[in-house]
Amino acid sequence: MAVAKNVLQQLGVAEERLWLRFISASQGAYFGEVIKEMTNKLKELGPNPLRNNWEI
Amino acid sequence: MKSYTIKTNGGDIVGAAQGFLKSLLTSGVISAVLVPQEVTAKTNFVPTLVTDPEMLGAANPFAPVNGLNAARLVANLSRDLPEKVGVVLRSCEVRALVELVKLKQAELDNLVIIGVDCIGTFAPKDYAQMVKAGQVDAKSWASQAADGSNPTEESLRRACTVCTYPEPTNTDIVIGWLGMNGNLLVNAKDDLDLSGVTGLGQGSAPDSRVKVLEKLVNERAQAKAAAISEFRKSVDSMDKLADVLATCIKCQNCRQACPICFCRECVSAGPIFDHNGEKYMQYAKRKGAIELPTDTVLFHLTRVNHMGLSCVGCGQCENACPMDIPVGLMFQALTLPVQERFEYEPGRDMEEPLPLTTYKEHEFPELNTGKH
Repeated sequence: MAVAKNVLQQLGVAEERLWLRFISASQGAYFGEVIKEMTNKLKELGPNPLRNNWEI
Repeated sequence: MKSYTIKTNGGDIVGAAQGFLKSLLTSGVISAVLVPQEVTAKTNFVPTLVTDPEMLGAANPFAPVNGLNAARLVANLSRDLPEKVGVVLRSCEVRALVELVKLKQAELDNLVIIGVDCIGTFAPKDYAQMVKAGQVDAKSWASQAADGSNPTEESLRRACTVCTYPEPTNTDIVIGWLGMNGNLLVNAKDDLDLSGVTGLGQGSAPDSRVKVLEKLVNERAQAKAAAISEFRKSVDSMDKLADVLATCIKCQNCRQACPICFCRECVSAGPIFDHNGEKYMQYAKRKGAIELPTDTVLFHLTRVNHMGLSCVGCGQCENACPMDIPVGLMFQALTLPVQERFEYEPGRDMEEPLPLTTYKEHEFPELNTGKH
């Protein structure tokens, strides 16, 4: 994770697009919360600008 | 550590090195030696495994060309090796070997690592041209370059011009020629018995050697910092990276040439990257258009993630690239900050654990931004 994040950061990929959350099997409610949080954040960020690049 | 010098016969450094290797064989310190020898056409040097002391006639451990990083060969050789074998390697090869030992791909038990000084090598295709044009003489290279500067007009491989390791470490023996005024220095580990080896006189590294090494390391460190910062500017966005990799044909030669990429089944050759018609159509419909072959950028990013922490910067990937993409420099630029973040320097220490195989309960808490 530290490696991937560091590499992507250098390549200008917005840091908030890569998430790490530790969720144990017993934390069902927290899992739901995180997914909601992630969905909202994604809506706010909008589609990845790279998605329109046919070269990548 | 024990230090010796070998006085050369009228400055014949290569002859002296051959004599030393021959004596290691005849005195029984080693049963065989892996050393570069000149091919008959004189246009290249290739690693040879020599058991007959009389067959070292074309050996030259200092010749300024290496078409491959021999660490991978040594890793193969080292497994179930029944007898002691000396392996003559440059710093980049020793450092890659250290990583391969830690990755459990090489065994040190019967290896005697013989490191040699190196100020850099030429790309094999350049070297062959230079030989034909009479611009380089492998026999006198170590005398001409003893002050640390490239005596020819041709540039060394780019990776070599930013290499800060002219003298190898983590070796059993070092054969030094830099700053030795036409003689050779032999540093050996204390537990290695060289009493039967002929031609070794007492002596240690002279001031001239210390100065040459210091100067080289400083100059190269500056060159490295400059090259990386310049390159970093050229890839600070994904679009720019795509530009650098625009000519990549995904031949995967870089992976093939990489001494660290030892996996027999690379993920990039497996089902994850092996798409079928349905998948291609799905991608194409989603994006409107896709480039084929797909995943060229992803291939390189995956490689950075997989072997970046062990990348020793030997630059063989760059030499293997048919499209002249600066892959070696790209790897150095992308992996150095990662190596710094883990305070890990590949090839530095046999005992230093690989960061990704070490578990620490509390590490990089800033990456997990949720509740604990």
